[in-house]
Amino acid sequence: MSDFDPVVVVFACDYCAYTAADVAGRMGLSYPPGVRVLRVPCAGKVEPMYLMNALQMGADGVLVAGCQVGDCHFKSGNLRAAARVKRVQELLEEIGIGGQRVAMAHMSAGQGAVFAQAATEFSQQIAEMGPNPIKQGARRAA
Amino acid sequence: MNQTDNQRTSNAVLVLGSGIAGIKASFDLAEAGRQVYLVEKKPSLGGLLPLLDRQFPTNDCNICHLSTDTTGSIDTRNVQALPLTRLVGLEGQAGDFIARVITSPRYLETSRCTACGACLDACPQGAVSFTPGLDTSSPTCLRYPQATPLAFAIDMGKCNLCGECVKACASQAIDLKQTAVEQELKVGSVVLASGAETWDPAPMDEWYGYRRFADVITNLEFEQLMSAAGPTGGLFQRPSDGRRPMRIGWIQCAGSRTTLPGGNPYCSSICCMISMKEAIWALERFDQALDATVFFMDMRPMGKDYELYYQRAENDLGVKFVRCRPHSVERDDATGDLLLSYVDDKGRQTMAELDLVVLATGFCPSADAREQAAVLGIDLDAYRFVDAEDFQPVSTSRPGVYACGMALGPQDIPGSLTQASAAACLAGAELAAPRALNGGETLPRELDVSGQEPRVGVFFVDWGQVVKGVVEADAVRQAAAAMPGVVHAAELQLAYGSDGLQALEKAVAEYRINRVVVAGYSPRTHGKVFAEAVRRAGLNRAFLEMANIRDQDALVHKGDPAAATAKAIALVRAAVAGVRQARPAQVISMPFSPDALVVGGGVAGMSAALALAGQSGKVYLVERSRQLGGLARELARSLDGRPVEPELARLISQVESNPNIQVLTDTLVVDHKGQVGAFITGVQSGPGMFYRQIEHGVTILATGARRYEPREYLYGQAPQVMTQLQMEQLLSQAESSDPRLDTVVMIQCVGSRNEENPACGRICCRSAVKNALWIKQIKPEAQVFVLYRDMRMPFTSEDAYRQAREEGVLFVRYDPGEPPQVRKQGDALEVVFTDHILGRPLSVEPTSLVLSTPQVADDENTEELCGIFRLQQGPGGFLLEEHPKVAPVDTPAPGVFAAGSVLAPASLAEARTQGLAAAGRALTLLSRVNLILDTPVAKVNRDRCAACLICVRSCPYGIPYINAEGYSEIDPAQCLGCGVCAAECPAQAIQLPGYEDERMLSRTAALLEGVL
Repeated sequence: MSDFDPVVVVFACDYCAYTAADVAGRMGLSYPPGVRVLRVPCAGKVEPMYLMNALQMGADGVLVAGCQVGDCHFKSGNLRAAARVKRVQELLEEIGIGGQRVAMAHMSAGQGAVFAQAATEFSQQIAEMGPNPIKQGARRAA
Repeated sequence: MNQTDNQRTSNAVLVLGSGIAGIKASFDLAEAGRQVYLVEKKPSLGGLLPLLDRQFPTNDCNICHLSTDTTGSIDTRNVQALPLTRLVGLEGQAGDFIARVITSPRYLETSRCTACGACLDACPQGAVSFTPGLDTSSPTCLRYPQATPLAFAIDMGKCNLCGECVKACASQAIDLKQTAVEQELKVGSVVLASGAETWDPAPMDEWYGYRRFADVITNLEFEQLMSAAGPTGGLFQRPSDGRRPMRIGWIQCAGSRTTLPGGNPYCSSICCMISMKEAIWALERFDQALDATVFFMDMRPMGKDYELYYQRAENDLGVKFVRCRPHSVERDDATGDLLLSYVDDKGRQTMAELDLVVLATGFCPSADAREQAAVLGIDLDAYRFVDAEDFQPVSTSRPGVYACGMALGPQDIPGSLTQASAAACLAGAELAAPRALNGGETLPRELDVSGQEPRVGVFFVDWGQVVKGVVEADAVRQAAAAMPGVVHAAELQLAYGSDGLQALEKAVAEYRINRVVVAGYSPRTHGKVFAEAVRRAGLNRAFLEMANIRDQDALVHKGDPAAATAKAIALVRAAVAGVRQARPAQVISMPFSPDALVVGGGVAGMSAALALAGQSGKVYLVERSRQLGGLARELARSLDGRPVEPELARLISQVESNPNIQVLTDTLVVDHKGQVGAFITGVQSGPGMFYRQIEHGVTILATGARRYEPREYLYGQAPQVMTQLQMEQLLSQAESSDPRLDTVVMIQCVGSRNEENPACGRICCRSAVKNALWIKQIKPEAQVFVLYRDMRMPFTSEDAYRQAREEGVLFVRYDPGEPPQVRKQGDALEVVFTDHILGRPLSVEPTSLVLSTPQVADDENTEELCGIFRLQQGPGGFLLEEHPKVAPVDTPAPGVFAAGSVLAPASLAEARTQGLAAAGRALTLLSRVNLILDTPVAKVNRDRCAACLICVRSCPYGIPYINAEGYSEIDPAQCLGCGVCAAECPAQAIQLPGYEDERMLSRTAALLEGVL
């Protein structure tokens, strides 16, 4: 295990993942406190710019959490989100930040445990990758 | 009941009792445009619930949840609360009652009382301190700190008129000369919600030692010991010596399921859940080496998904469970230890040493139940609870008088609330047409704050122990106060009623706040309530942002207070950053359709349709099969032993002959669009798949479940093997000579409580006992074995269980790890199982082997339904309700309600209750004339639009189009606000209010402040 606690921004769909995150809390499940959730009406609202911006602002990882495949509240917003995440991953790989710093997760509203697990596993994965290199750049610049 | 409309003159309902059931019934009725008199014997409203510090399964306090769910939307002027009041007469008939009530003097003017407590201190009658909840001994008594009305009352029985309190009261509120007031209320119907009382263990002192030993307490006293508002201020100390108890034992069924004098023969239904909650809570709070053990006979977690809670308590959370028959409690004077002697499940006499014994005491009818029933002219059962039949689950023996909550017997909160909505629905049917509610007309004018600098108010709402125990409140408040634009940061207690929300409204005016952040609850559950409060304060509803500190911070990071506090600050900062950029949301008003769509023609759906048909517009009842009736068609007798067929036939004929109901059998729902008040649903009927669209204001989903098809125990491979339903069909024709009834073995939990389906079937135990008794009735000499894991016989079904044992039915428990073995021996069957007491295997050759199988989710159908109506499935594939505790028949989609076994396995009585309840909930919306649309919808900036068609192509609903002027146009009445077009638009010409790019980026930056 790495000794740093990554900061992870989760863009969570109101209809599934955001609810699942609430359910996780009510079930008393835990995940690393670096995981911070922003609510969106649909994963399909999450633009590539939001992901890049979060990394630029110092997030170590960004997770987009939408409904299960075939179960999107708005038919296909989750698939659009997944496609955008993939594009951003390729871009990040190219510029040396690491494509795996962004990821997509799918879950339904009742799945508190799935949210907690996704948050925990993604956070661990980021911990293994180490801090967002932009941070070092920012610190050097400062 | 058969009155014509012109005889129904009253628009008022009398609700007796103000526990959660009474409050829920009152609020539902008020929201449906009815006038309510809420009569309460005690000085303040609330019933039993405020005495519970936490409620399962979230171990949260839900009273606020219940009240905030309603305070935001109801017209509270429609409810007139009459505390200290009792009913003394009820003349007339349904639709036209005269109720006589007497209000006792409070000896105090509530409008002047500030609840300062000076009178309490001044009273020399033994009032040394005020201990909310537990101490009712002082003459001036405020039962708990959140009481409504927030005022003391004086018990003249204990007062000697010394006048000290009058002198002490600075606001001159005390008037010892007040007298009782009698009045007559004209009402159309009555809802009895007078609740129950907790059982007093004193009469069984020789067993439990409740009076002899200070450290033997009841479950409600345990809640008070743990409560921050309790007598020890939340310090967890045992009463005898103030030591923190490390070994706590819960004794289940204390005074329940017993024929001993002083006890109750019935099962109190919810004590198992209460004890588990308390044990989990104690372990969570004092995770160090605390020993929490539940001593039980059968664990009966009976509600939806309660079984999962039990499994988590045992497997993950460290609660110990000891299956036994608790005998008695003694005390070792040398050590101070309590000694619980019990007989374990191998029949051995054993002893446990404990520091604290908690008696899981059940509930009794209220002391004046009989007196009250006499005034109302209704029948009670042998235990003095209201007698109701499975087919009329909330009706009393007197037409126009309905009942709900614990007045009908001990039950949990969702059960009480469902009955309350059902009773409200039927009570409304006895009234004249409701007063139309429009919403909005009494609101203050919206302030124009467009040119102003943001002045943000941050409110920390209801930061009780759940939050404060983890997050350092002062640190967050100080950080918030220093955030840009914040002019006010304060705590706010919502608790009861709307006082807390009024405090918010006042603060907005006082500090000239023009943007509000609420830190605490989830926006999902409380967003609407606070948006309405912000609107009442004169601001646009969109000038609100919520920081979800409770569900997404405090509850998750209990182990890391420092990180949780840092995260809370970040969440508040993001909310402040977001709300600074809020722009006013547009509100659209359009007519609200009075018609309803009910999907599913089983008992739940038909009950809902019939209840709606008399009180609103047209009802479309859609059933996919060729006939109405659903699962109940296969049922011969309901759980109360009454034949189902005649009642079902009556219900079907009432539905089919009702001029306001259009029944569409052989019909499938294929599409659905629009908003609450203006839904359009497409259906296909008949072999020709004829397509039509139905316009309706509300939707009720009651599409049911399916029977589990067993793969176990040679089902389908041997003629002797059948399900309980098949046995029931056999019994309805069987004669005493039928050899199939000679030796009957029933196996419980087939297809439930296992890996594949962890849920409990909920009704299979009762079905087994019902059929076992039926077999014994037909053939008394029949041998009947029931192989079970826990016999789950709630309330008076326990009597049937006892009767079955008395009639010789043998109940043998098996462990899930060692299930019964069934094999074929030629044409015969052999069942081998282990007898726990004898500790050796027994072999039986049954002439019938009956499998107790559950209802399981109709997965395929429910999944399709969820797709069409944009809902979600929960564990096991059943439909996910809005909130399992406080909104059991609502769904997250506004205007869509659910009932019956689509939600969870349901008995006939439950399906019927939920059908009526869903109708009752729907009526709270159908009372509206206008539909107010305030969901954010996508907006196009025409100057930026290049008419590239990307939005047209990406919208999941095909709503945007290029208009005559050559730019994209989106109909606000049709847009559902997903934001896909906004995300796809290459020119950023489309923005979704609340989620504008600029605002999303600000939130992200604020959330990450200090990270770089």
